[in-house]
Amino acid sequence: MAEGRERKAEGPEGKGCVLSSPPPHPNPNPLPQERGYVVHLLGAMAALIGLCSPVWAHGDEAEELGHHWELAAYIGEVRLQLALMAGITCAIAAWLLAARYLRKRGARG
Amino acid sequence: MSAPLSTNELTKVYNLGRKKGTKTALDSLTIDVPEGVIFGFLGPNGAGKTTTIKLLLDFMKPTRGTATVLGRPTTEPATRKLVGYLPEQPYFHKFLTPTEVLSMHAGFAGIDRREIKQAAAAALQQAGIAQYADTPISKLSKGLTQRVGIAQALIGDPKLLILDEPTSGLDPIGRRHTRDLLVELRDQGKTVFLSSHLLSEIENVCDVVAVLKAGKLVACGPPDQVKEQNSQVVIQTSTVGGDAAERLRFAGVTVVDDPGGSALKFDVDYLYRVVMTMESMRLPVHSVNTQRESLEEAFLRLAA
Amino acid sequence: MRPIWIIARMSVLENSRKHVFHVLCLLTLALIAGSTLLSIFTEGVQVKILKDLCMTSILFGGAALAITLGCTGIPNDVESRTIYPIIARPISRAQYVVGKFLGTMLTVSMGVIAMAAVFGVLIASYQHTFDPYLLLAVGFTLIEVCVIAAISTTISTLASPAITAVLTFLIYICGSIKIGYFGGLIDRATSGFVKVIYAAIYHALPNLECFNLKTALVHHDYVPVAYLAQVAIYGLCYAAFVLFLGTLGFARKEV
Repeated sequence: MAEGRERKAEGPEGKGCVLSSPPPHPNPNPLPQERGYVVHLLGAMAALIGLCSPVWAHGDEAEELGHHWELAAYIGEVRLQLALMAGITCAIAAWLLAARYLRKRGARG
Repeated sequence: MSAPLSTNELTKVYNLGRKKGTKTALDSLTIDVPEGVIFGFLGPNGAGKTTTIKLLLDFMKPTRGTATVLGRPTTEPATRKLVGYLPEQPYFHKFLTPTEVLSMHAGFAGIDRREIKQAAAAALQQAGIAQYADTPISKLSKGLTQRVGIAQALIGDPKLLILDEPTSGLDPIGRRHTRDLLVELRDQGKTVFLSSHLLSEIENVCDVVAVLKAGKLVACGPPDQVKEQNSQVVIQTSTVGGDAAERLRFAGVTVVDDPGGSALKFDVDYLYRVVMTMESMRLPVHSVNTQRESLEEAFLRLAA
Repeated sequence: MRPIWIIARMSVLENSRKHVFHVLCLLTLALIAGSTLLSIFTEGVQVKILKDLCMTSILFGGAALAITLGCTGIPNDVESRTIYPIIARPISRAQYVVGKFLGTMLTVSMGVIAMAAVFGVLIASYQHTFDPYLLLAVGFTLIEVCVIAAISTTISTLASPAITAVLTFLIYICGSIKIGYFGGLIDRATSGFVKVIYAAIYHALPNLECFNLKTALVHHDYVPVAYLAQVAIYGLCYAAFVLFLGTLGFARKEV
């Protein structure tokens, strides 16, 4: 592909000389394309809406669907994850404090 | 009192993977920037200037060595409270105006809310772009955006300014304005750490220069110290050829033929010997001049 | 705190100018408005379907906004180099990440609240009264979206926008069907090592289904206050924990 436009010009002594325009400046600020993500996400949304069976079941069975607050598995998992997060945060905080203390001791001694 | 900027064996090695190995971008850099000077940081492309600046501002961690800014380790965010930084080719959000950019940075610098507008206006005035205060960045040219960057670096009255190519994209008037501004800041007692390729400007304003080559410091000191001490003498005489030219070369002279005759170039230490040789050959002296090595020649000698 | 608010404000101004924000909001509003065309059912059933469809649209719209805005916020700043003057200031990397997340969340909240307002007006026009369950359902949708935004922001500190979007979307899907579909996998694993891996992944995934109060909105079911309180605290803690991990990762990143 041609990088720029080429045009003939007459130089001194009637000899032709070819001048070419510089190629267009590339965008110095290239940013990620967001529109591709939108198309993929919209497609996924449409598929998911179609697959969501609770949306279409609106007879008497609806009473049995989606009452996760009555199922022990949900609240049990919530509590377990809260405990895990607390434990991991404490472990990381202890590790960072220990590392900082050792660094200060190393700098002093 | 600790130096505003100090490094000790500062090293940065990039790991390029198993096949390509490692690349040493900076090798044991040790410098002390005195307070209240304009410190010029020179080097060819890829010498490690921007890497050094990134290490000083904690954009990346060093592989080895330490650096302190205003007496504090570079890893602490509070260290940068009194530091103004101008990146090479500064970018700001396009939809903001210079006033909004500076107001944002004034907030970061901890300026009181009631004084932000005043501080922003003063910085724009200092950078010479007060008339563009409310023009969106998207409508400003590269040179004006550069000046917004300079104004941004000045906000918060920093003690140390780290400027990466501050005159990039500026017209001659803008470059002159920036040079005068740097001298004014130095006279106010601020320290300026300046990285630039424009050696004529470095030579005009810098009190101390450091030359980097392939990550290593190859020279550091006042510009006169970095340049070669000995002056060169140039004597214009009539055309010299054959045996006479050989005798002069033997005496340590470079003979250069030009349209008017020959130019004899030699170190000033050889002056007496050369003059005696010329007298024995009865060569006329048309003119005598001295030439000192410029910073550009010193740079090419050290870093090329 | 002040730097965090400044970064958040800048982030809101930036995000609200993005095409993707306007497109997703308008699309979701169009879905909400379009669901009124389901007039083939009797009125009672129609209102239920309307609520179900509209809440699902709001949830998906909010999640899509959280993923797309969250995955591009920080990488955009790094690639366009607008981050350099900001982190050269006395701001920690943690403050920067939290500020960007807050900006993303505020922008997404603006979109979700606009969608919910239209939805509320629609429901009020059918029921001739304001439905208080709407506030509960939308409130917990916001918490769910907050968790998704935190995950998206955290992954974006280390990965490219494309990888961030895909990973966040996968986590969103798996988190939404976690207990229902993956609950039995751990017990069915034969090897002890595989069991540990399954358990680690299972318990790391967010439990997003518990924020879904769509059924309560549709059928006006009672949800215990204690459950709501625990789930709300869980959502906010999960978002905070994920952001905490993100700040640790971003602190080591070379820009």
